[in-house]
Amino acid sequence: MQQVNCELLNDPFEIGGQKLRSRLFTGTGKFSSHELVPQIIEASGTQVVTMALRRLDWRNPQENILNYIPKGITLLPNTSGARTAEEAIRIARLAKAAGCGNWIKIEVIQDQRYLLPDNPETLIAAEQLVKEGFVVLPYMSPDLGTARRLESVGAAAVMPLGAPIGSNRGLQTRELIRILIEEISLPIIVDAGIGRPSEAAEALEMGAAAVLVNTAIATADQPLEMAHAFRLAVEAGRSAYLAGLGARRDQAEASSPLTGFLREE
Amino acid sequence: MNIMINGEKAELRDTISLQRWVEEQNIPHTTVIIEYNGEIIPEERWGYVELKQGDQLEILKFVGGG
Amino acid sequence: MFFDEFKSWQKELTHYSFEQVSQGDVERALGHERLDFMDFLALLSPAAKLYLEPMAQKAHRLTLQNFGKSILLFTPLYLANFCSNQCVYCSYNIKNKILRRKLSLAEVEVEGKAIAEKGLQHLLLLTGESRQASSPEYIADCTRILRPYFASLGIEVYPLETQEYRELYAAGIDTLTIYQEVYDEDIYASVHLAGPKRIHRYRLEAPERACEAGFSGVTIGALLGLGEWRKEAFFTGLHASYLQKTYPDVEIVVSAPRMRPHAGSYKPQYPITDAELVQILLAYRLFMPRGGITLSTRESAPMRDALLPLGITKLSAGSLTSVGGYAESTETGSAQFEVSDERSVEEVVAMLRSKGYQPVFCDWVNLRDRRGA
Repeated sequence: MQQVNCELLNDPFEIGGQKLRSRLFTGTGKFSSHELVPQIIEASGTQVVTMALRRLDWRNPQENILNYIPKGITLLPNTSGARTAEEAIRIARLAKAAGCGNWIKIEVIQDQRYLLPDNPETLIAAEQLVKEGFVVLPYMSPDLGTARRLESVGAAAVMPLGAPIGSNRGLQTRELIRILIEEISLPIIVDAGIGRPSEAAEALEMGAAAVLVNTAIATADQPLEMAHAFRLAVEAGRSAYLAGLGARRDQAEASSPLTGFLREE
Repeated sequence: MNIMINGEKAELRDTISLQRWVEEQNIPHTTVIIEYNGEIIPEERWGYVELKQGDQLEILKFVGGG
Repeated sequence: MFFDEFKSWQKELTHYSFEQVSQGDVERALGHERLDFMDFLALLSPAAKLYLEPMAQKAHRLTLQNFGKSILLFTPLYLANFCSNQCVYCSYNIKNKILRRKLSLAEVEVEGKAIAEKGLQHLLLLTGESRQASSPEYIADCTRILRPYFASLGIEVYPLETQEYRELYAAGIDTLTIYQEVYDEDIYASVHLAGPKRIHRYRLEAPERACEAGFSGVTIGALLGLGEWRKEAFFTGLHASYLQKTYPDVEIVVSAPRMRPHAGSYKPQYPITDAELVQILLAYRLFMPRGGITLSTRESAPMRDALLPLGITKLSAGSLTSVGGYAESTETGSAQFEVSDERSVEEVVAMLRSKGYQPVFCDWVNLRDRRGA
């Protein structure tokens, strides 16, 4: 058997100065219990997990999710609940004050029906939070103009959606994401919509730097097995990307030659 | 006296420091964030904040999220 | 800055050669929907020579898909042929004893009218590279005179400062054409013996300055014959793709001018065959499916007709490379090179129509005040 090029296996990427091996980010929402979270983290091999900030039910305080996240995992709090840039900025500052590090996933959503992100507000929040020293990962609708502006204000990555949050509908925005991958030099992390490991693999094959998966794992019959399946899919997709996908044939060669005139030389 | 906690009215018997109040409520203090009248108060300063009539507290914690 | 990318690829190419490319690499590049730099390099390699027909089929399909069957026509107007450089390959070389002329503003208007009467709406203004004889102010004056007659005015003149480009833009210029001539710095130094043009980097960065100044289109290219063509074409592609990425609102166009007979004894060191020219054009099209490609009257009429379906989007027509000459009354100055396709505008239009192409005289209207006020 031919030896596999080690570079393919040792292929870290960098966000905010941190080298990451795993290209699978995991969300911690919708799990049946907090106890599952550390097991999911292990089964998925993830190095970055997301969480949200909410008001405490202070008359009935429960254990905090942070207690279930192993040391060495990068925390990526999101600003879910924010409807404006201002609210997102406030949530980001609170998360940082809570000792959550300086990574922030900006999520600004006004539309409560489809939960689609508000790109203009997201851009405003991103610009401000970069100035305040955050490592900013904005969740966004895959729009090239917005992505370019996010890049120019100093975002650390962009996180386009594949389909509406929690919809498990896969890469509905495939063409737009492909354009971002081609045009934007930041890591592109596909967030939201990925429902199956094969879709995660496809995102990585296309050249996405990583994917963020939550619902698909949390709502599987066997979340741990599904976390593992996503881990394998992401590795397969990345290896395929590095290996260089084989050529897809164009249609059969046309009958009237376009270079015939050269033979007359 | 009355203060607002997370948008709800709450009654306090008498003047009390933020630190004491958190302890009395059994709130696991290592992982909550408190905004006092719109300002984030780091845990080491909770002891210096005296709650008084009309104060507003926002107490937040991390929950699962994607 | 493209300069940094240029430098790092120069280094890269010292340990990678076009000869290493295999047929498999070429087939892979052909199969890719989006080509990366290595795919582009593969298409310029000797191995790709066997794939010209499949490359041409794909280039043709991509061109139709992105541009339809339409070709924009434009024509050059040489304003002056004074030059302060010593380029060994050019008739305008300061050492050459040729008839030097510069059109008066009155002549510019007469020439402009004569060109506009043929229906052409896109005009490219050229000068020799003498700042003294053809100052930015002179070019701006000519621009203001020509504005009312044309939809789009471009310049192909010596490289300018960003501020000067801004001023010309304000006067009514909207596109820049500037050829690096040769990307290889050693050859560049050896063919540009004297004059301000000797500064390779200043010329290399002119397109970026024009983009910064607000120009809506930039055409670049290497003068084929001066350097090793594979490398020269590769750097042209890198340059164009850098500009496309950095200035997404600017239309980037490449051109592949082959050296033509000129006044002077220099012969191209790396002459390009027809098949090689075809390979370059095809590689450009496949690498940049949405980039413009210009073909000048340096090529013969039959050659231009044959190249047309391979990816060309712009043609010059009815071109004169002498100073003036469109109007009968104007006394002309010597030409920069010999035009090879001497057909009139009507003949080019008829040829396009017969091949099922639509000749386009205007694909852009500069909405700024046409009087250039």
